[in-house]
Amino acid sequence: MAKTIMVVDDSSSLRQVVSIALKSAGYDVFEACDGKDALAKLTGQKVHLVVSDVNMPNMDGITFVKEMRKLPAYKFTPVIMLTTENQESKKAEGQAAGAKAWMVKPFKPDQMLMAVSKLCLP
Amino acid sequence: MDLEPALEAFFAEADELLTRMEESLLQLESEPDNNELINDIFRAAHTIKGTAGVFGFDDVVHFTHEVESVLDRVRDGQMRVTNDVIGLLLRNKDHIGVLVRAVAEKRDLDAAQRAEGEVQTAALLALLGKQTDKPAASAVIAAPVDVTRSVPAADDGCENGNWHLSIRFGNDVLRGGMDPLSFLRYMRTLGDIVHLDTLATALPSWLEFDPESCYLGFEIDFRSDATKSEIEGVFEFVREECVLHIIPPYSQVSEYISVLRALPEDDLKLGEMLVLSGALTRSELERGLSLQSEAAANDAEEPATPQQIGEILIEGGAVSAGVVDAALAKQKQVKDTKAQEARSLRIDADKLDQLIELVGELVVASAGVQNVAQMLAQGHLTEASEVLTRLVEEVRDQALSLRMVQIGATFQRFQRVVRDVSRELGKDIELQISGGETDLDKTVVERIGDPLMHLIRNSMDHGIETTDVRLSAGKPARAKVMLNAYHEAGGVVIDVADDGGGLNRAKILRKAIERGLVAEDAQLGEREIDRLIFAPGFSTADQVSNLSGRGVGMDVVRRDIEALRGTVDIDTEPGKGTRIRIRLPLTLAIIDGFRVGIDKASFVLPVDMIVECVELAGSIRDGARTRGYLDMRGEVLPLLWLREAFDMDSSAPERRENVVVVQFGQTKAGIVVDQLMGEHQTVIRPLGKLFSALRGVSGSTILGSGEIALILDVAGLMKMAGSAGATAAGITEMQGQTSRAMTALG
Amino acid sequence: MEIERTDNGDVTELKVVGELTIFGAADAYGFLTRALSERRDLRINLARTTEVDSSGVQLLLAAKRAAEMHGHSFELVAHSAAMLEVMELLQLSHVFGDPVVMPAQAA
Repeated sequence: MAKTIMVVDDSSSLRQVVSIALKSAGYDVFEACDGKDALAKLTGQKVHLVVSDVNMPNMDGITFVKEMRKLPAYKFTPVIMLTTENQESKKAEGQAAGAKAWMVKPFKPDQMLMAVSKLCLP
Repeated sequence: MDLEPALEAFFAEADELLTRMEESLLQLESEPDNNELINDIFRAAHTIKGTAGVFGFDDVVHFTHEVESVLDRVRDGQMRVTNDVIGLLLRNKDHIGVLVRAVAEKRDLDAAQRAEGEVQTAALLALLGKQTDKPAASAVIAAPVDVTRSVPAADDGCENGNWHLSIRFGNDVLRGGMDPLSFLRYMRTLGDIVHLDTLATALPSWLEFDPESCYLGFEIDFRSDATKSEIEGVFEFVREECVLHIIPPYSQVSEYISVLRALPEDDLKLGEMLVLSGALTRSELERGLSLQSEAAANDAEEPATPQQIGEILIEGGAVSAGVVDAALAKQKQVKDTKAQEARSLRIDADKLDQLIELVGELVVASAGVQNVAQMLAQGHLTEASEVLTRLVEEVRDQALSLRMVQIGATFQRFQRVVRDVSRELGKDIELQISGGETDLDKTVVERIGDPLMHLIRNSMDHGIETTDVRLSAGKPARAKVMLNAYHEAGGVVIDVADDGGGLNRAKILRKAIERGLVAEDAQLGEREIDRLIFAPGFSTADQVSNLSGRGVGMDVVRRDIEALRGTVDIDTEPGKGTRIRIRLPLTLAIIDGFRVGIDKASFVLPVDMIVECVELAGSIRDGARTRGYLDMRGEVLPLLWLREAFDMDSSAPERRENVVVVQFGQTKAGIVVDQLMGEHQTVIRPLGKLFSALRGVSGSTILGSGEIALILDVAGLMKMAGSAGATAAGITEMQGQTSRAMTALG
Repeated sequence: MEIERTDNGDVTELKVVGELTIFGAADAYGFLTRALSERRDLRINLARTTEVDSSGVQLLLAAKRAAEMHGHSFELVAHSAAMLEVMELLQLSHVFGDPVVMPAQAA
């Protein structure tokens, strides 16, 4: 059974790229456009991994992870946060919120696949 | 993998982000401490960089990276937002746009663009205190530095051709969603796990055991061609929370021993494990342990604490608690940005137009049904058709509203223009925008941009005085150009106003006479003179500036607006300023029409423009006939006989005619027709080229009965009414904006 | 995750249904704590265990150690494919020491 990954980013083109890459590797992917949207889409289904941007309107990625961790079904779901190299303070805050894996933007689709595979092979 | 579909989205998105970036930058100029704006700008650059990188658009990434670094400093409060910084960022924003477009069009930058990019990069680097020749920081995850350690010369390599990994996971990894097993599974994609020992020595007693903490460690022999950094990379997401030692194949025995010493477990026990796993032979272990203790004895002054021993690449808890706290505190200060709800769907404009067209057909068809129902006068049918009509009307409104967009984005574009132009002119001018939330048809919005641009530039160029003149006139040095939009009478009004010197009427008149636009002895009212600026070939600029040197006159502005079925009025007061008022229809596609008839022909007038209808009969009719106007409760109403305007052969009905009183702008006029036939939904069909010269008609429509009706162009007709009624004394002044002079000139 | 308990003589069989992962680790720990406190031999039936992660592995290791400390047996039976994959990855068969029925075609 294919693993399910949720991709959260306010950039629709980035979501598309990531989705295309992940789907081509055999994952099931669904998308959300910001933290709020992502929370709304977490309805108890099994999600093996979340890939989320940090800087988003409506609800940023860190608040989203904090909120997500309050839901029993997603309390320990691995999260890859997408960030830029100059967001060290964000990273510290995010790790405290339960986002351990960070990935520096920009990345090539292959790099994304590799990162995802480390946490969850298809 | 085919990324093509995502590319389109990227280009559109980049466009949007750059627009937002510009808006925020301009706003930042007046609110340099607005964190939300700074965040917005940062996010725009950040997103563009991030996404461009995914597509491999390195030029965009490298340039945007420097911009982002500057923005990051601004965000952190390390750099002050001066106008110079904003100016540079605005240019940067333009250049990012250039880079993105170049990628979209699959071409290289031209020399000028490249030079501009280099100049900007240098400026950015200077701000960052970096050297220009230093290559832009790589965006790729930095490969960890291998810590190699000098080893005692007496040491020798071991027989083991495998990598050895020794890893202890931190307590919190599971809670963070990281499962050590997943890393091991991934590791197997890089090579073979020859041997693995699961270490449960750290497991506490059952009652002290926390099921959500991680206590596991692994000793792994790994056969792989992967590089050390690749192997280390397997654990990149937990490397701050684990102790990881990687010993390359054929390493010196001492390296193993160092690792043993650094680990929390008992040396001998681990050593046994290494021997058992085949990483070391027993003799290698023994030799190594003794060598190491000798070295320690010799180095007594500098005790070899575990951290100093080589090969310790990663230690848990790298981020100190103090740093975390500081970061958290800082985060609290920066309020979360609450960007507007941007939940929208991108739709191909053509599809939308097709929908509108279909809805148009639906409106016509439903009108047909209604006609039939009325003819049959069958109760149920009439009722049903009324329901249908109402629903169709709603569908029409909804469909049209899909095309409605706010004018705000168009207005915002001018912030930049005003900023740049005012610098160029050496004038201090601010643009005040209001009514940006006013909706109007997308087509109208798209086509009003150019005329507005010209009006604004004209205001800045000719309307606003130089600072010296303003000060000596007792006006504030900082001049204002105001853009305002609002809904009025089924249309939209856009005002472009300035607090400049107003029109110089004497000068305008002189110019107009010079150019033969009016006769030398013409007696023109003030408004007529004002409107001369809209006459073709009129320009008052003493010096042709950079801006007005574009060969576009105000007459083009007027024509553009009229092509949108709009009008333009001017209102000026010497010394105080000028206001240009543009009236536009909400939409170009469908109107609520009012059908009138001349003999057997039907015409449609936009209901929005009709004030009232009055009967014209008896002596009043005779009087109006001779005078050409009607006394409407003491007001003079110029009349236009539609039959005559269109040279129709039939004769007027004997007993009575009807007057439809229409208003456009501040002007009223009466259109005389035979019959009034009621409201009628009208889908506007443009007239063919053949009829484009036809005056007083703006389009045609198909009635429910299948007949064709002409849609009357009220503005055009009013001009005709103006000239027709001009023989009557006093009318000219009453006409206000519908200038006879204009008609003559146009 | 659910745990079905069957008492059979001196042996308590706990059947782990669903995933034995961090999501249910606290619950599983509670269940095992009660079972361990009864001082009986424990048999963990993994036939319907769909997923096992590190937390599941260490929970089993810790429980085994606790049971054996009190002189009771702790055995894993009917390993599901998910459990077998983990045991193979971590080379655990000798650690648990239980007879494992490997699938005919081991991957």
